[in-house]
Amino acid sequence: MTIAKKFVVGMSTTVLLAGLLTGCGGNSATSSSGGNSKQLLRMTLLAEPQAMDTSIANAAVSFDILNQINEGLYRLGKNGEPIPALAAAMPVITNGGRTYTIKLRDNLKWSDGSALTAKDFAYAWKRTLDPKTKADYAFMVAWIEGGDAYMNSKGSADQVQVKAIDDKTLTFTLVNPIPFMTSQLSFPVFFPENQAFVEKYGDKYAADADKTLSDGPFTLSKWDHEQSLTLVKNEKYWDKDNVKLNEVDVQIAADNNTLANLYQSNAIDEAQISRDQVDQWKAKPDYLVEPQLYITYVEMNENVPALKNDKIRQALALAIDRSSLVDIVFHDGSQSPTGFVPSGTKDGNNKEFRADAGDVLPKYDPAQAKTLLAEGLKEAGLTSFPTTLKFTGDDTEDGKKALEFIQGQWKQNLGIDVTVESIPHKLRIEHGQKHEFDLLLFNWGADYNDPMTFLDCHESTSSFNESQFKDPEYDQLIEKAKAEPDGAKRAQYLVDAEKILVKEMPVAPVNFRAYSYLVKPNVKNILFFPYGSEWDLKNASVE
Amino acid sequence: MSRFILRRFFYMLITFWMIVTVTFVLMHNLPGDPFANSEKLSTQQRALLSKQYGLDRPILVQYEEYLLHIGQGDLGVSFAYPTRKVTDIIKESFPASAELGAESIIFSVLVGLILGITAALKHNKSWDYTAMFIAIVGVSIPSFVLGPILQYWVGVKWGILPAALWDGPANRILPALTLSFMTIAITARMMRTSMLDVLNADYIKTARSKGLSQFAIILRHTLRNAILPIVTVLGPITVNVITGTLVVEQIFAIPGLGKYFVQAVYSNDYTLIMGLTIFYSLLLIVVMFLTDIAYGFIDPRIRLAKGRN
Amino acid sequence: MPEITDDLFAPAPKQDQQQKITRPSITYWQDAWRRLKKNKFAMAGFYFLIAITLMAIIGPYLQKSGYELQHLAARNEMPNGAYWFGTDEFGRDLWVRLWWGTRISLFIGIMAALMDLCIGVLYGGVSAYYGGKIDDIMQRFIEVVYSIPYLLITVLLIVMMGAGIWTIIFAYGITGWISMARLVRGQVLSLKEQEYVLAATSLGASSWRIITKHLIPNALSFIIIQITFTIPQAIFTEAFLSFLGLGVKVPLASLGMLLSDGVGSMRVYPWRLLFPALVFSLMMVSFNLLGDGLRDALDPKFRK
Repeated sequence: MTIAKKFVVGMSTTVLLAGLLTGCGGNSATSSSGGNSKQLLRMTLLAEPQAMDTSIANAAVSFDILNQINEGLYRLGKNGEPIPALAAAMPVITNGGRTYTIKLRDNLKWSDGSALTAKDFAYAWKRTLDPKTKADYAFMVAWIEGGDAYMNSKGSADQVQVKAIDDKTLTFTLVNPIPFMTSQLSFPVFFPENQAFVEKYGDKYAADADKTLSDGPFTLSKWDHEQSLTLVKNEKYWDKDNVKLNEVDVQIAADNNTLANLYQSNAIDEAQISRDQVDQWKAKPDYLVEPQLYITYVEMNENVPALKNDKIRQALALAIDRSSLVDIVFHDGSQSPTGFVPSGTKDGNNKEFRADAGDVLPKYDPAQAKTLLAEGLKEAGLTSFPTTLKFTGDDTEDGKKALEFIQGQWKQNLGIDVTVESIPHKLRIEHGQKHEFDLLLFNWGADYNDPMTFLDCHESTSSFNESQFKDPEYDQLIEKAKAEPDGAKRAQYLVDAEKILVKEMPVAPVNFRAYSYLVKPNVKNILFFPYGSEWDLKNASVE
Repeated sequence: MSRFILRRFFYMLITFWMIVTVTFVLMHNLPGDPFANSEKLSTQQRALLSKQYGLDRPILVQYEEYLLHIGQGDLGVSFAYPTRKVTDIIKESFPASAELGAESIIFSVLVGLILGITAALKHNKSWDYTAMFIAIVGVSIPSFVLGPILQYWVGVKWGILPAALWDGPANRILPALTLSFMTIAITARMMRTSMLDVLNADYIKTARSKGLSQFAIILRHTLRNAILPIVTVLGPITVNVITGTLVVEQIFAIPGLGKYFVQAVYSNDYTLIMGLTIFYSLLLIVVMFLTDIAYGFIDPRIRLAKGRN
Repeated sequence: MPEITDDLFAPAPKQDQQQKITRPSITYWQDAWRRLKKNKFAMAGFYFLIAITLMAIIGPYLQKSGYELQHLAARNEMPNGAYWFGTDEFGRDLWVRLWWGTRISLFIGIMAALMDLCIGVLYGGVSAYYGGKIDDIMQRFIEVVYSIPYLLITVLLIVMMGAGIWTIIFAYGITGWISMARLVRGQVLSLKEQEYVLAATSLGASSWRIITKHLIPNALSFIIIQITFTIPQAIFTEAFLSFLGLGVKVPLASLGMLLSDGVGSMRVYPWRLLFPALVFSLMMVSFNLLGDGLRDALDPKFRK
C-alpha cells in the first residue's frame, strides 16, 4: 500500500465518519409508558432561578418554582380565572372598585408549622415596596395608595394602605380601580412572607433550600445551584389531599438541543423546545403549544428624521411578511400579530380584547409599502431612505434570526439597507431606555392579563416609550381608561387607543409569541400559563 | 534554587496585581448598566441602586476598596444573583469544572502520550501516519459540533450513556471525551517531536551500540527524557481545557463554573466577571509557576539559561 | 636589479573552472521545497488548501443567488439541481453561503497570521535582542496577557466594539501573537550567541544589519511553521466565538456560524451541518498536514 493510497483511505474514512456522525435524523424513540407509583415528575428550567424571594424574583424561571412552593390569596385556574387559595372566598370590593377586603382560610400554616396570618401579607407587600429591597415588581404593589411614595423614598411604610384588620382579614385600597386585581393577587409579588423567617436569614433569605419557607403545595427540599432543584409535597399545605405528586425534580439546562435529547432519551418528562425540534415532534402527542401574552415589535425612533414620518413607518411595517417570519424565525406556534395587544389578553370586562378590537393591523403588502415609502419620503423632503440606519436587537438565537429576516425583507421589498447589530439583552435594554437607537427589535411580556400592560408603554410619559411616540389624544385615552371604574367603557377607551397606534404605527408588531413544550403523555394536569409562571403542578400527576 | 523560586514568586505577585488592575479598568469601561435586570425597572430605581452599590463614587476610591477586599479574599456579591457571594458561586460551581477538567486531562494525556510514542518509534511508517492522523482529526472538529453529535448518537440513538446532566459517573464520559480531543492532539504531537529529538541524541546511539535491547532503551533512556517537554505544555493545556469546559458545560448541562463566563459578561455582572477573571488568572499563574519550578528542578539548564522559551 | 615590468603582475588564471561543482548548488529553501514535495500528506494538504481557496474566491459566482437573498418558497431544501448544497431556513443558497463563509474564515486566518508577523515577530525579536531589563519587562507583560483568560478579553471586546470581522481579528490579535513572540524570542536568544553573529558584531555591523541579515533569516523557518498553525487556530477561535453568538455580522456568515447553525438542525436537516463540517474539517486537516510537513522539511533536526 503506498502512502498515497493510505492517504486516500484515511481521507475517505474521515468523510464517511463525518457522514455517519451527522447522519440522517429521523426515527425518534417515543415516550415510555407504564405506571409511576412513585408520583415523581421530572421538569426542566432554562436557567438558574434567583433567590426564592417573592419580593425580588423577576424572571419566569423563578416564578416557575415560586408558584409551586408558595401560594397567594388566589391561584389561577385553567382559563386564567382566579380561584380562592389562601383566601376563603372572592374579595369584597367596595369604594368604587378601590377597596378590597379578603378573608383567609382557617388554620393556615407555613411549612415549618408556624401560623400564616393576614399580617404576613401586609409585611411582605411593604417589604417589596421598601426601596432597600430593590424589587423590580414593586411597581405593582405601588398600585396601592401610598405605595408609590414609599417605593420612591418619598413616604413611609405606615402610609401604605394595606393592613391586617385581624389575623384572618386583610384589606387594602388602590389608587385607581383595577379590573384584573383579583387575578393579579396570584402573582408572586403579592404572596405572604414570614417576618421572623425573613429577618432570621437577612441577605441570605431564600438563597438556599434550607433558607426557604413554603406555604404552597410543595416545599423546596434540595437546591444544587445551576444544576437541579428538588420539590417534595408539603404536608402542612391546606389542600394537600389534592396534591398527587410526591416529588418534582427540576433540572436546569439552557440548551434547547440538550433538552430535546434528554427528553428523547427519557431522562426528563417535560422540555421547552424550539424551531428545528418542532418539526421532529409536532405530529406526536407529546407536543403542546402554549400561546403567550408576549409581543415582539420593531421600535422606530422618532428622533431620526426619516422615521418621524408616519407613512415611512407604515411602509416599514407593511414590508415585513409577518406570517413567514413567525413560521421561519420562531416556528413554535407563534402567531402573526393582528394588533398591538396579543390574542388571549382579557379586556378587563370578562371578554377577549382582540374580540373587541378585531384584526386592526394592515396586512403584509409590499406594493402598498413601496408607494407609502415614496410618498413619505416626499413629505419628509428626503430624496432617498438613509443608508446609515442601524437595526438593533438581542443577540439571542431568535433575536438574531428575526433581525436577519426583517433586514432581508426590507432589502427585498423596499430596496433599503439597514445595518444589523445584535447586542446582549441588557445592553439592548439600556440603548432602548436611553433612546440610543434607530430601529430596535423589542420584546414585551405581560405583567398582568390586561391590555393596559401593552398599551401604557406607548404613553408619552412612560419610561418604556422608547420610540418617543407623542400623541396627546392617545395619552388622554389611556389616562381615562386608568381612572374608569366601568369595565365596558374602559375597554372601549383601550380599543380606541389601539386604533391610534395602528394609524401612527410608532412600532411595528411582528410576532405574538407562543412556547412549544414536550410533555410525556402519561403526565396529566400540568397547567400552563400565558404569563408570569409558566406552569402549575398543584394538580399534576403521573399515570 | 530558592533564589530562583523566590524570584518567580515575586514575578507571580506582580503579574497578579497587574491582572487585577487591568480587569478593574476593563470592567469600568464595559457599556451597559448592571441593574438592567429587566425591562421593568424605572430610571429612578436604577439610580438608587447604583448609589447603594457605590458605583457613583470616584473610581480611585472604588479601586482602593476593591484591592482591599481582594486582599481579604472577598470578591463581593453577584449583581445578577444578589443573595449569592462570588466566592460561594466559585466554591459551589468549580468542583464540577475541575473534576471534568482533571478527568479529561488525565485521559487525553495518556492517550496522547501513547499516540505520540507510537508515532515516533515508527517514524514515517504507517503507524506514524495513523497516529498523527488521529491527532489531526482531533483538532479538526470543534467541540461544539462533536459534543452534540456524541450526545445524539451515543446518548439518544444508541442510548448507552446519559445524554446530559451531572448525576453519576456515567454522566462524565461523554463530556470528558468531547473535551479531550484537543488535548490528545497537542500531547501526541509534542510527544512525537520530543521523542524523535531524543531518539536522535548521541546517548541513545551509545546505548544502542552497547547492545541494549530496543525495549530497555525506550524505557530507560528515551521516555524519561522525552516526556520532559510535556510539562511545559501543561499550561496551555490547562487554558484549553478551561475554555473548553465552557462549551461542554453548556451542551451537557453541567453545573460548572465555565458557563458563568459569558453569562456574567452578558448580564454586566461586574463583581462576578472580576471574581471569575481573578480566580481563573490565579489558577493559571499558579499552574505556570509550578510548571516553571518543576521544570527548574528537572532540568537545571533552565535556571542558568533563563532565556529558553 | 631586474626591471619590474607590468607583465610580472598579470593576474593568475581564474580557478573557478576547476572548483565548479558539477551539480548546481541547492539553497536551503530549494532543499526544503524538494523535501516538502516528497511528503505526500503535506502536498495533499497544500493542494486541498489551494482548491478550497479557489472555491472561496470563485464558488459564490457559480450560482446566481447572493449570500443574503431569501427564497421563502424554497426553505430547508435538500441538495438538488438548483441548490447544490440545499438551502437554509430562510431559503438561502447554502452553496453560496458556504463559500462566502470559507472566504470570511480564511480572511480572518490570514489577518491573524499577518498580526502574528507584525506584532509577534517584532515583540519577540526586540525582547530577545536587547535582553536585560527590557526583556524582563516585556516578558512580565506577556505573562499578564497570557494569564487573563483570552475568552474573557474577547467577549469584553465584542461587547465594547460590537460584533464583526474586525472585532474578531482585533480580539485574536490581542492574545494570538504570544506564542509567536515566545518562539521568536527563544530563537533569537540562541541565535545571537552564535559565532557568526559575534563575528558580524566585531566587524562593526549595525543592529539593523544583524537583525535583517542574520537573525530573521535564520529564524524564518520557525516563523513559517508557526504561521501555518496560527491560521487554523484563528479560524478555530472564530468558530468557537460564533458558537457563543459572537460571530460576524448577519446576513454574512462565517464557517463557524454555519457550523453552529447546522448543529441545531442536524437531526432534521443534516445537510446544513454536513457541508460546512466537511469543508471546515478538510481545511483544518490540510493546514495541519502542511504545517507538519513544513516542520519536517524546514527543521534541520528532521533531515536524514
